[in-house]
Amino acid sequence: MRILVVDEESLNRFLLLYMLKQEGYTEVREAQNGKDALLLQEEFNPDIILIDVVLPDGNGYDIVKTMKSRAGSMHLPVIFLSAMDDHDTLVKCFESADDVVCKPFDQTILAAKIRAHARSRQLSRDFEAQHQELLIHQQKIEREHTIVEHIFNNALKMSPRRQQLMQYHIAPASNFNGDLFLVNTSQLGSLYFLIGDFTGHGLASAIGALPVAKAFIATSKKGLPIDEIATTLNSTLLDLLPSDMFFAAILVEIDPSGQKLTIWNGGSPDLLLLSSDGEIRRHFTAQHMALGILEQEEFESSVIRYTANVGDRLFAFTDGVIEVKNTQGKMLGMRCLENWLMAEPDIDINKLVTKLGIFKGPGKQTDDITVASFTCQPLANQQVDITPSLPWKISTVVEANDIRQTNPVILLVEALSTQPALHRHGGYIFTILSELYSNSLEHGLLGLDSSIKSTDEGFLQYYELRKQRLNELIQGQIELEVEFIAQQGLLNIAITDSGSGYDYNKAGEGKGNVSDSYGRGLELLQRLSTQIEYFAGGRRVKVIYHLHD
Amino acid sequence: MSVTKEVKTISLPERFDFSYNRTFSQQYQSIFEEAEAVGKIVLDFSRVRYLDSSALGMMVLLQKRAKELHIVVAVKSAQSTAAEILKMANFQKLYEFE
Repeated sequence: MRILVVDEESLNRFLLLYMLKQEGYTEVREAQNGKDALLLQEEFNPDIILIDVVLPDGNGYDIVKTMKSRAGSMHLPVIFLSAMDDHDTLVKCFESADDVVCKPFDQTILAAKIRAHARSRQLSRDFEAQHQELLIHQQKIEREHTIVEHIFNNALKMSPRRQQLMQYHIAPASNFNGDLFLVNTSQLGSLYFLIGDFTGHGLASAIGALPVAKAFIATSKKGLPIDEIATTLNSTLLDLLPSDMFFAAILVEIDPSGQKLTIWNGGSPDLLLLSSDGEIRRHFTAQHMALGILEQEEFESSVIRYTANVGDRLFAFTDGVIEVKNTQGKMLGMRCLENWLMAEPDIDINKLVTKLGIFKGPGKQTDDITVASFTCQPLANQQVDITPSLPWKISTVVEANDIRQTNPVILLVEALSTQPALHRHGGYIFTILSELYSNSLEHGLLGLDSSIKSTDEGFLQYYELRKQRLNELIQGQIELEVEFIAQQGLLNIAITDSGSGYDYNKAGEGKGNVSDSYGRGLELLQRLSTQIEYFAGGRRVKVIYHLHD
Repeated sequence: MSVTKEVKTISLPERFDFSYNRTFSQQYQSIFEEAEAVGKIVLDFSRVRYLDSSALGMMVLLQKRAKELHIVVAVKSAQSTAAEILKMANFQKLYEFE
């Protein structure tokens, strides 16, 4: 504990220094006037000051005020030494200092007072150290937030062209947004958007936004159906989020005509569709739980389909909008919002946000707020970039050895699915190719007879036999060809095998019973494709598959 | 007096075709071993993207065996393509759709 003694009288200083030494204070300095005292405060940085009220270069009160203000937020205990103990002097002393000791002083009392003030100095010092630590911590957090914010903003940035497709407004309650709004267009020309709200707000809730955005952009770009996108997002979040966190969201696909809507709503407020004259055509109420709650086997991906009229307007909000409270603590509510929209169906989103602000009145925004709207009209009017497709043809020949080791159908389908025009068709193309390939292999090359499958035991036997004959297969090949005719939007699919031919006239006989365990392949083929032609005694089969139904 | 019977779920893979034949029959055989206690078998289609006629054949077999044992069979969470193909094959006549 460093102590500074200020007194004009050298005898007084001597006595005080002697006493302090006896009390065990080793770091003690002395000054005989105010000027020296101020210099020593700089140089010595005392913890406690004992100072005479009367100094040769002025009064002690002013010096003490200067010393106190220099100490800043740290508490600097000052004890006045005074020859007078009248009422006025004491009051004046306490205006600037913390204590007064009257001369001649009692050593025991002065020592006790110094110890008491040393304790409060120590408290202030500890407090200051903690305060500094907090400041450093805060600066570090702010810096980290800035970095993460930068990453988020870049990751979730939408191109200006995409932004033009929809009107929207996003207002986070803190640096990080627990709301998420994304718009994308598929290579097939559909518009996709996602609006959602993670539980809570701030960094913890925004953290889920990155994987969701990544998965949404990838799947919507491919033009996958909404139910598949919902399933993908659910499993992404299920793996990632802690169990008390989830993502209420609406997923919407709008076809290039701008009228066919496909909607999945999990735990979000109603999506509203209004006619241009302000009539509410439909509420799309949540049918599902939010994303990231249900295990994959419990998850429901069913969607609502709706055809809107040109000029209809779709409005989507996160719950922060309808839960905005006014100064009386009353929530806005869906009904009030609907009335606003019905009264002014062509309202600009920014104007709507202004209305929200007026309703809320002054005060802090407590939840993230997102509003978005789409006016139904052909997307081409809005300059959606549809990648033109080039025609192409792909073919592969598999030999006996390849046939044993791989399934060329799945490899081919995976390769085809990367083609922009075919994203949504992978499942159907798989079924067609799979039926054609099974026929060529099982009947053409392996000479298996489907009628074995007519009994239940036979069904399993058939596949045992298939395995056995496949192992014995030495010669034979199958050629698969897929040709994309871009202009007509169709695929020519052909398969040719080197086997002994196939009696295609018999293929369809006596089939069509739903409870038969075989003979379903041809029926599926007929339903999925428009034309089935046989060549070369059934060794070559060609079907046409239309990409647009 | 009726006793509540168990519901068993079989989760199907992304590609449900003949290559899954063996696994699939093992799965339902093991459920049949405790058939007394089982009231329903649910096929979870949520992951299925690819489906062919041999898978449909397997489903018919399962349905027949289950029926003999008084077990109901159901299809759950079939996604777009798979749902479409099951519908084309009229499977709503054999299976409950959840």
